[in-house]
Amino acid sequence: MRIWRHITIALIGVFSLEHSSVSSAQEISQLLRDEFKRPTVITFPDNAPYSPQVATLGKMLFFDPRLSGTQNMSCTTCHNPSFGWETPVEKAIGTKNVALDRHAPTVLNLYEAPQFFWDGRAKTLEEQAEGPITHPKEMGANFPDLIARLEQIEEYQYWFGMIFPEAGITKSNILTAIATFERTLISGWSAFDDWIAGDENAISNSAKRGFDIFTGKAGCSNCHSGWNFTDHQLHDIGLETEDLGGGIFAPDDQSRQHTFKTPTLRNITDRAPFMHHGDLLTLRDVIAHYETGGIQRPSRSKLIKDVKFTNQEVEDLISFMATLTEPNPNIKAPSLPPR
Amino acid sequence: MKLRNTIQFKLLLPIVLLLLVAAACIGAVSLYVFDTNNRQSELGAQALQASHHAHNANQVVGKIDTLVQETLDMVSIKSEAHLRTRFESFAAELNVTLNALRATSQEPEILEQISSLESETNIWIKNVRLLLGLDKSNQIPTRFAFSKQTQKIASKSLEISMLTEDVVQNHSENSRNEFKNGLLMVAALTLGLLATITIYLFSRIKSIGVSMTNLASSMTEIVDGNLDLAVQGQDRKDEVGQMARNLSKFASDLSELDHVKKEKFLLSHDVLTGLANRRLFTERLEQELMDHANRGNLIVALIDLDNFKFINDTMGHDAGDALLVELSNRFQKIADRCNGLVARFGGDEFAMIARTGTSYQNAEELGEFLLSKIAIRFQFNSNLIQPGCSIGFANVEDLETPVISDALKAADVALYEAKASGKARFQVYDESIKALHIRQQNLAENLKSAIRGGEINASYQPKICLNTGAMVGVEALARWQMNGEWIEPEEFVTIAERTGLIRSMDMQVLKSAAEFSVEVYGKTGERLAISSNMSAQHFLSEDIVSNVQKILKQTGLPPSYYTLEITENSAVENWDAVVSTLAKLRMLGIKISIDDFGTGYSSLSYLQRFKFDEIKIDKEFVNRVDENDDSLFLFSSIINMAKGLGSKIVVEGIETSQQGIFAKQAGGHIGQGFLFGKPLSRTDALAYVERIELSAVA
Repeated sequence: MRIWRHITIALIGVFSLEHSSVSSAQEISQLLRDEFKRPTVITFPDNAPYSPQVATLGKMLFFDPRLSGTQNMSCTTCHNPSFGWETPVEKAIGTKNVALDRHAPTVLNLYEAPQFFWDGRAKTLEEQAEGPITHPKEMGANFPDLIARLEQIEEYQYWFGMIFPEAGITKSNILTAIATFERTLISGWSAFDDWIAGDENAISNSAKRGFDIFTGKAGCSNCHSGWNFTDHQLHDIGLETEDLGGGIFAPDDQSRQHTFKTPTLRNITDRAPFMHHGDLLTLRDVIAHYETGGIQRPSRSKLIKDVKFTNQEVEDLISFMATLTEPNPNIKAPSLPPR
Repeated sequence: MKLRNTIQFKLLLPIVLLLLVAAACIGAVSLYVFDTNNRQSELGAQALQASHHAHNANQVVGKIDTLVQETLDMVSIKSEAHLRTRFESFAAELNVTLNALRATSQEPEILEQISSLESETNIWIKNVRLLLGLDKSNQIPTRFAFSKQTQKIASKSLEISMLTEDVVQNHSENSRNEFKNGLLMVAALTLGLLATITIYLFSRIKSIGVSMTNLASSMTEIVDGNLDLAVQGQDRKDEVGQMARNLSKFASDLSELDHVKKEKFLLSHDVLTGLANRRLFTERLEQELMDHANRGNLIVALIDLDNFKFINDTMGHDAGDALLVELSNRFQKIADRCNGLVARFGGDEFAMIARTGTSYQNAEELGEFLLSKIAIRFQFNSNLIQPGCSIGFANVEDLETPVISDALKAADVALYEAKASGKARFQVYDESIKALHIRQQNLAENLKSAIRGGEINASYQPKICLNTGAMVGVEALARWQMNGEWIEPEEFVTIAERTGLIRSMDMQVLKSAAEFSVEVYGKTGERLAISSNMSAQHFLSEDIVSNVQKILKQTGLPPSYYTLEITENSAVENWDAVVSTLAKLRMLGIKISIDDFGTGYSSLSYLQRFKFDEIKIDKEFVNRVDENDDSLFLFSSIINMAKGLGSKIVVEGIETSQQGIFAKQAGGHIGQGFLFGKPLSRTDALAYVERIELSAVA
């Protein structure tokens, strides 16, 4: 679909170029930019509609370490808003003080995502949320205990009772609340968004050149597409890893080996280190990786291009990516109920 | 006067009318301005309100936004009911505010903006409801999209607020402009009306002012004595006209009064000096004398200028007049100091009524003072005049009968005495003077009857030729015996002169002398030359010529044997008349002699104008001739001078043979005096002439 759209734009561009007019070049540029326009609404699933109460309750739970088995970590331990909802280590440390298998991905801009986790094994946020809470290496909780614990807390009792009058504190309601909160997490309005909205002076020329490289020569936008700079799909970008990623769930499918979900690039400068393993410490490393093209193997994405960048192009790409960050986390800590 | 003709009416009514009109105009304009201002204020106030509402709307939007933002901040859970309550309250407030904004706005531009605001707000409110969870949907706006929407609404409401503020400003500007225009209109109207009033009043006041000025100058002229002027502005109908007519009437009345007064003044005053005249003096004196209680200290004085004729002749009549005026002023001042009155009786005669016990205790003090003041020298042109007066005083209390005639007579007697005793003196009428006066009165009365009765005889004094010793004639002198007493000629001649009897007396003497001469001729066949005195009074009329001629005819005396003697004094004082009279007399064939030569005050110039046949040297000269050489020299010189004129020289008053020798040596032709014989009676004289040999000297 997206490829076709690019082709259409290219065709229009060719058609326009025949007339060799500056305005047509601008039109192309505008069409391209429209690809990156931010949506003005958040869509919620029909079974989990938005309400400020649910979202707030989810936020409380998200920030509450009592959701872990040993009550020593909350969701924010690894999805820290101050680091673009990630944590600045290659692999987050779990409840048992042991590094996890993968780098913690951001929870920004997930409302529209069709699958979750680096390997895409969860299809809803609710489903996803259950994973870390109950995973022994991560938060190490079990829901009966957790529900019992929460029921001990009067305010949770009250709020759950009010928001979910039929069931009160249940696993499903906990996960719905967390997922609803997560759906409201949208990265902030960045300089890039201003530029897309038409403010030519919002970003530097270097960033603009970076955008051109990003969308053109480098072909980054083949996967990091749209306003969220992700296609939410799994790709093998040739990283050296033993992790099979999506391949775990399809051992027989060659093309799915070593595939990982394309992460958003929003607030990317907050989110180092990079990649599912967190082995690339800087964006330069990331760009350098793409210049190498990664490991040539059957699963490697066909979209990986063989490109080389000048130093300036690297700078331009980094400049561009920096415009995607809205540095203000724009988050207030929730007031959590005492025991 | 009709009210509408008065100045008040003419000045005040227009002012009142114009002020009323002005007030009405200004009032109307003010009302208009006020109304406009009000209207503008209302519009302004409305716009202000609209601005206020827009601002409020913005604030309510802010409140709602804050509610939403708080909710989205997700710090703590707020129940749906809580959110709903707050939202609905805000929404209602917003609704009210927007309605109010719409209601208070009139400008189409703003209304359009309001509509736009309302529609956007509706959309926004839907999003608010979604975000607050009041409406359920599977889509909610992103936070930044909502924020942008909020900003848009906020800026729109702010824009409306600003627009309305612009309207307010426009209205207030309009209002100011209209107010300013109104004020300008009021000012212009006021100025215009003031100008009109001013111009009208100016013309009115100018007209009145000019008339008043004319009136004022007319009044000044009237004050200055011009009473026959034509007063302007009499045709005016206002008060000025009234004043002008009254002034004209006043002037003509005053003119009549003035004429009367002038005539009256002239009747009672001397024209030259402005002093009272004899008439006024008499009236005043009469009144004073009637005042029995106060006449005790009343003095009457007669003042006579010494040598006035001399001054007139030598310095001219202007000098004489000036002197009279000057002395009048001095007299007037003195008279004022003693509550008196000074009058000019005519010529150089003045009279004064004075009171003692004033500045002067008595007549003597007053006399001394008068003389001292009179003696102050007086400058006329380049001449210094030394005035002198003789004064006679009469104290009324000394009079037997206090009547005017007696008072004047007494003063006159005193004056006469003063003059007789020398010039520049005063004399108070007292017992001795009174006696003298009584005697003079007595003499005068008797002399009168004597002259009427032909009792005046002539005595004859021989005139002797100094060379031969022969008698050349006699001088007939009046001789009068009253009640057996011989009266001295000096005494009764003076009285005769003063009473006017002198003329008859002189003629009687001439007649007697002529008859005597004719008798001598009849008895001896010799013609006796006679001479007699003729008083100066004769020369005031030409009667003397015919009288002399008549006597010579009656008596048959040849004129050539008659020598008419005129005293130098008499001749000089009336020279012009005297000369023509003398010329006529000489044509009768008689000889003319000047008597008492050398005692007059005049220059000798008159001797050039008339050649006297004979000059009689006053006896004063021969009397002193043996006193010293100077006197002899003077005597000789006078004789020489007289001889030089070709006249016969008669030396009078020769009493000693020595004097006779001097007289002869000096060149005198004829001698007269006791040495040669006293005046003789007719009988004695007849005997004398029969005895001696007459030598014809005619």
